[in-house]
Amino acid sequence: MNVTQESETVQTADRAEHAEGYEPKLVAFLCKWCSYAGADLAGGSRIKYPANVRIIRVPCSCRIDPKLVVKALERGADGVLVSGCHPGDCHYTEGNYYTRRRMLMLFKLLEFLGIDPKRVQMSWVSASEGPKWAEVVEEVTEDIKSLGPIRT
Amino acid sequence: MKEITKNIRTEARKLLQDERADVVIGYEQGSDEEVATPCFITDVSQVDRLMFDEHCFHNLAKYLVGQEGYLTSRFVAEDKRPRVAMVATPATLRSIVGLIQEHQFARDKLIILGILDGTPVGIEPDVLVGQIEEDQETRARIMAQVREIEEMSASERWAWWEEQFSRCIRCYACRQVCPFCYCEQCISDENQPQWFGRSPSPGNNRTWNIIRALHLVGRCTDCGECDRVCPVDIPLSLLAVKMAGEVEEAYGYRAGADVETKPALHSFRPDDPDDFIR
Repeated sequence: MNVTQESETVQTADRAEHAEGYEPKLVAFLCKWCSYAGADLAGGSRIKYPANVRIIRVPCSCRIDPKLVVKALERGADGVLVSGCHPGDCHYTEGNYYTRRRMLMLFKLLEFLGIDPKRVQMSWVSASEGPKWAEVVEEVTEDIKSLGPIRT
Repeated sequence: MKEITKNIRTEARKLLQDERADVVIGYEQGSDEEVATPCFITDVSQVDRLMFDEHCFHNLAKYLVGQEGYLTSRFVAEDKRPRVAMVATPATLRSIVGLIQEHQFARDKLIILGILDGTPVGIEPDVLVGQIEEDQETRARIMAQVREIEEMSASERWAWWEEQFSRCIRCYACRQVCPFCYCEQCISDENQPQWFGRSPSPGNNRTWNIIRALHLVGRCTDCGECDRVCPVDIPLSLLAVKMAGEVEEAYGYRAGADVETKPALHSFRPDDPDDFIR
């Protein structure tokens, strides 16, 4: 199946869902050292948060090439969340500083092209912030729910 | 303009006669009066082909880099590469600055016959061959259009860009002409994995254009060549100007303004704006 066909199938499915009890698809890219551990802690502490999020673990938030975000949106994600260590806490010292610059530019470009800035968001979640992770996912899911399926 | 042509020819003759350069890259008369075309002079007898007028706007920096570039060719050993002299308009000069910043070649590898227009270029030409007037009109027009799009609602903006990108025929002229698209393998040619399809379709076109624009953030020196060569008139300059504005606002960085600084996305400050992060 080629790329276009596949994403069109996903879209049709999305539109149908929107009619009755629409649940958005949220793709989250989490840095392995902080945010992923934070999400793990949330799970370990049995904190409830929406199951809309699909987590992808990456070695560092700096690994998150903007093309990954664009591709996720293109292939049917309604929103993307990028999460890494707080500034100064990067396992590789400075990876998250580069991410911060790169993501701001990505968000500005997507906004200029007409994608609502709420669809692509970024957060700092440390390994000890299980409750914050749950909160972030809840808020982002709400944001995207209010926007509805992405137009692609 | 006549004066500039004369200066270029004199300088080129000197460079070739003294064997300080093996090739002079400049402009010559094209197929008619209204057209100029890049040319490569390697012999003193050919020097009078060089000229300069208002149709000489091509960004010649493209010829320096990439797989087949004069200064970085992978097919020619480093010590066999020609010594290049280049006629450089302000746009070309800014691109040269960007390429030096990205360590594509060292400043002393290139002899620059510079033409300035009063705007800052961040590099000292080896020889100043002339002064031209700044083209403020084009810039003002693009800025106005960027503002117009910014004022649209999100869905209007989406529809507007969809319509623009839908015309894309994926000829990659924008990539081929851009001095900063010097990757040995472009992401659009990769198929393991394939990031987006090669055939023109709304999704593929959109992804290609977004990724192309992203790869140029903080690097594009806004020469406008992509806009000029696009056979279906997609206003790519709008993306360039918009993103240049964002980079300057957030990080106080202007591409092509200083050889010494690092490009915006290759560097950071601990106190960069982060009010968009949860």
